[in-house]
Amino acid sequence: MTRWTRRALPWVPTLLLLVIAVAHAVLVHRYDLSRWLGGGFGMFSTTDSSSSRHVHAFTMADDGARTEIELPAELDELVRHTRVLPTPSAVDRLSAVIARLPGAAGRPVHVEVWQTTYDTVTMAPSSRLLRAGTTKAVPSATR
Amino acid sequence: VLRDDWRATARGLAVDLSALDAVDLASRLTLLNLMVGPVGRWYVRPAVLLLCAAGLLLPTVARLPSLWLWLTWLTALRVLGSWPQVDNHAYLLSYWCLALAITHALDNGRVLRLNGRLLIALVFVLATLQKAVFAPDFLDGRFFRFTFVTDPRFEAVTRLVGGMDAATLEQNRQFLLRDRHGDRTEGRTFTEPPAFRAMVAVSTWSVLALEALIGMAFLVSWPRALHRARDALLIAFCATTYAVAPVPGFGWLLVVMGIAQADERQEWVRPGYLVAWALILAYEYVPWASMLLD
Repeated sequence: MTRWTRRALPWVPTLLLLVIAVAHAVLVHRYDLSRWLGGGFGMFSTTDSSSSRHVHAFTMADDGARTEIELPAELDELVRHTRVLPTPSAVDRLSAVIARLPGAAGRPVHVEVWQTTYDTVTMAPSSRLLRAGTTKAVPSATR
Repeated sequence: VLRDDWRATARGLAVDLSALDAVDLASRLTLLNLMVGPVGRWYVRPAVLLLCAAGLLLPTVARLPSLWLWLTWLTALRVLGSWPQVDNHAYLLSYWCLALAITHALDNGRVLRLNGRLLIALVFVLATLQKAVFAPDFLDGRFFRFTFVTDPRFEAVTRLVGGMDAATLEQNRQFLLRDRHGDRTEGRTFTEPPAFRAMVAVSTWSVLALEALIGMAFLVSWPRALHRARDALLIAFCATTYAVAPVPGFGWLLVVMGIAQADERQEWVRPGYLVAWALILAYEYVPWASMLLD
């Protein structure tokens, strides 16, 4: 082990913490990662946790009418992931998976990720759209 | 005779405790933490438990850098396997195992002391910045108004200290959680007894002040008095916060890092941290708030 290595090694855990904290800040800023997660130590700092976010999926009829579809339990993991880090690719991936479900009936699927916020005085809840994405119809799914 | 026996035992424990090497103590306590609060999914947990059991049974194993490198890898795998949904202390545990691996590889206790101090400092500085600067709803009290009502783990405290009866609590919970596309809250209000408002204000500012002080005390050695009080502050934080915050793994980790960096000349520090460790364990299993409420 060189002298330089012996000097540098003790700082590695701290540097790792700082690098991941910076990555956390970037993901929060650019992709609405929940502050609670991601190694930025923002737990217990905001109401914007995983449980304050909600994901909705709709099938789109030819005339533009939307019908909400219930998300099956087997997608829980993917839904939770999309809820806390709604990157465009995560939303697209979720809508693509839902589009292949029989419930989508071969129609295009539109997915929305919402965040609930609370009024400063009255605490009345309201929703803010974080991200939305639509997947085209999947021909293999039965209509 | 019994009293004399107890005194002798307590004196013997204190002597044994102060004689223990800080790295050894921190290593063993980290392994113990992982035994009492196992982490990870099925592909991580058994391996972590086996390594910890080996380290606790055989002291020479606990000093092997490879043991700590394996634990670093396994705890990192736990983070990666559930990313980004794991809690922050899962990351911290991985950094800490890496610090222990480097300490044992270099056979240098100062490495662990440095990492214990810096990791604690950065955790608290970041937590303070998140609350005071970045989060939009902490300083105005919305975070605790929401959390005390909606998180069932705080229910007993909200009723006991906040003076919110069960019916009002349920009504408020429904008010806050009804926003799900189309559910409306017109005609409903969020009802807060004065004691609840006071509890929110005290929680908001005391948590922020304590975290900021701990961050400062561990990060810099000036003011001297604050730096010297760092262990007392961290012990107080662990002994109070984890009575209500349901993350014992985080508390135990802070205790271990605190012990690793503590000034060994202050005799009360190690027993103080160990009492905090035991308190966190008690909070985890004794439903003290519900018992008081009953």
